[in-house]
Amino acid sequence: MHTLLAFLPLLILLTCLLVLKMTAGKSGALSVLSSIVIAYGFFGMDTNGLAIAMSKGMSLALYVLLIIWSAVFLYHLVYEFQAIDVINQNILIFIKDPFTQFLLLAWLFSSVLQGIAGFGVPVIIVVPILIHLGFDRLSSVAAVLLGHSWSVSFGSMGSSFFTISLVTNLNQQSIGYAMGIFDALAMVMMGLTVCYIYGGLKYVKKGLIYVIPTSLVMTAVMFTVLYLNLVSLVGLLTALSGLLTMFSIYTIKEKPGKPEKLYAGDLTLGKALLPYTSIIILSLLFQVLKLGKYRISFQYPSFVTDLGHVVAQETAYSTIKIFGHPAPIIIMSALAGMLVYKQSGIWNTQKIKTVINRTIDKNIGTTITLVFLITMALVMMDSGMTNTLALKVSEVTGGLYPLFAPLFGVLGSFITGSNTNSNVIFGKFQMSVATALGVNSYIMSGLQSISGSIGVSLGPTTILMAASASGLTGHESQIYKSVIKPVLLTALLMGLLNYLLLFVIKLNIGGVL
Amino acid sequence: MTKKLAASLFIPIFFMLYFASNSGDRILGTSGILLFIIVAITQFTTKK
Repeated sequence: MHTLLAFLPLLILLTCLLVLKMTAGKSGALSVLSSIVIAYGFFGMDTNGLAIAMSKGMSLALYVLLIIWSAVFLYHLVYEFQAIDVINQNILIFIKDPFTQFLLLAWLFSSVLQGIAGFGVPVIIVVPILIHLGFDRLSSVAAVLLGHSWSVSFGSMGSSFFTISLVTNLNQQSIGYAMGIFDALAMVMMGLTVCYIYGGLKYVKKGLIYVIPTSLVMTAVMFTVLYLNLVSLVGLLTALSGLLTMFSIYTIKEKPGKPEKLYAGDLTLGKALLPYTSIIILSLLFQVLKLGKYRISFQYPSFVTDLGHVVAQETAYSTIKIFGHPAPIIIMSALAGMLVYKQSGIWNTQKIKTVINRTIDKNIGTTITLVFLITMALVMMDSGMTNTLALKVSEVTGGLYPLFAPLFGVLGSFITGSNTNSNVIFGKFQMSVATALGVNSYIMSGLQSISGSIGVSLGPTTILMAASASGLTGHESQIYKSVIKPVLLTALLMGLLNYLLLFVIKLNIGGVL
Repeated sequence: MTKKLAASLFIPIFFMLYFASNSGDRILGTSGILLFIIVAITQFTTKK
C-alpha cells in the first residue's frame, strides 16, 4: 500500500505529461499537491516537516532558477545584438556538412560546456545555436539533452563525482574507474543516438566513423586523467579530446581546405564569442582562486516523521557560491558582452529593454513549474516515500537487482533534475544493496553515478530549460517522449554490463567486494 | 491569478516556510503550506 502511494506522485506526473499531454505547469501542480497530501496523510509528516521539506525544495529551486534566468538573459542579449548570427555563419565556414555540425555540436561541444559549467548551460547555449543553423527545434532539443548526458557525472568540475564519493565513503579514484567503464558505454550510445535523431539508421551507420574512434580516444583520455587524479578536469579534458578528434576526422575525411576569410557582421567572431569565452575563463579562474568562502546557504533542523523516517539537520543547504555558481559568471560574461557591444557602436537601449522583457516572459512559466517539481522531490525524499519505493524494488528484484540498478540513478535524476541529487538519494542505497548481495560496491556506485548522468536528460529542470531555450514551452510532453526511449535503452544496456561485471567477469575494483 | 502574480507569491511563501522551519512556528508554517497549495490549485485557472 505504502509503495503504491509513494509511486503515485510520479505516476501522476508521467501520466499528465505523456498520456494526457498536459503542460508541465499543470502536471507539476497536480504532482506536488498529491505528494503533500500523501506525505501528510499516509507517511506521518506533520506541518513542521512539510514546511521544512517544502522550504528546502524552494531553496534548491532558487539555485537552479538563478542559472535559468541569467542564461536566458544572455541568450536574448546575444540574439538581439546578432552575435549569434556571426557565430553560426562561422560554424558554417568551418564545417559545411550539416550532419557533422549537428553531431559535433550536440554530442561534443555541449559536453565541453558541461565539463566547465554544467547546470543546464550546455542546453541553453547549444540548442539555440542548432535552431539558428536551421535544424528542427525538437530534434535539436532531444539531441543536446541526450548528446551531453554522458558527460554530466564528470562534468561541472566534478561536482556529482565528488558527491558519489562523499556519500559512499569509497576511494574517489577507484570509483572514478568504475564510472569510466559505464561512461564509455554511455558516450557511444549517446553519440549514436544523436546520429539517429538526425536521420535514422542510415545516419547511425554514417556516424560510426566519427563516434567509434572519438569514443575510443575519449575513453583513453578519461582513464589517463583519472590515473593522474585530476578529478575536477576529467569531464572537460575528455570532451575536449573528443571535439578535437572528431574535427580531425572530419578534416581528413572531407578535406574542406583552409577557410579563406572569417565571417564578420557588426561584430568579429572574437567579439561575438566573448560572452561564451568569458564563461569558460571565469569558471576556470574562480576554480583556481578558491573564493568559496563568499556564499549564501540555508539551515534546516532535523526531524522525524511519525513512521520513524529520520531527516538529518542541514547546516549549509543549497549553497550558492558567489564566485562559483554559474549565474554570477553568466551575468559577468553578459556585462562583458554589453561593454563590447557599446565599444563596437551597436549599443541600443531599446534592445536591452526587449532582452529584459523577453527574459521575463520566457521564464515565468518555467519558474512556477520548477518550484512545483523540486518541492515534490523534497517532500518525497523527506517523508521517506523515495526510500520506500527504492527498498521495495530491491526486495522484489533480489539477485537480479544489478540489472535494474541503473533505473534508480535515472529515477533520482528524473525526480530531482540533478545527477548530484540522484547520487545523494541513491548513492548510499546502491552501495548497501551491493554489500548485501556480496558484490563489488565500487562498480555499483559507479553505475549509480553514470545512470544518474544519463537520467539528467529527463530531469524536469533540464527539460524546462531546453523548452525555454527552444521556444517549445508548453510542449514539454513532446520533449519527454523523444528523450525517454534512448535513456531507458542505455539504462538497460548499462544494467546488462553491470550484471556481467559483477557476476560473470567478477571484476575487482578498489581491492574490496 | 496571473502567472506573474503566482511566481511572485513564491517569494513570501519561501520566507514563511523558511522562518517557520527554523522557529517551529506552526501557524506560520501552515499558512505558508496553504498559500503554496492555493498557488498550485490556481494553475488550472491561471491566465497568461
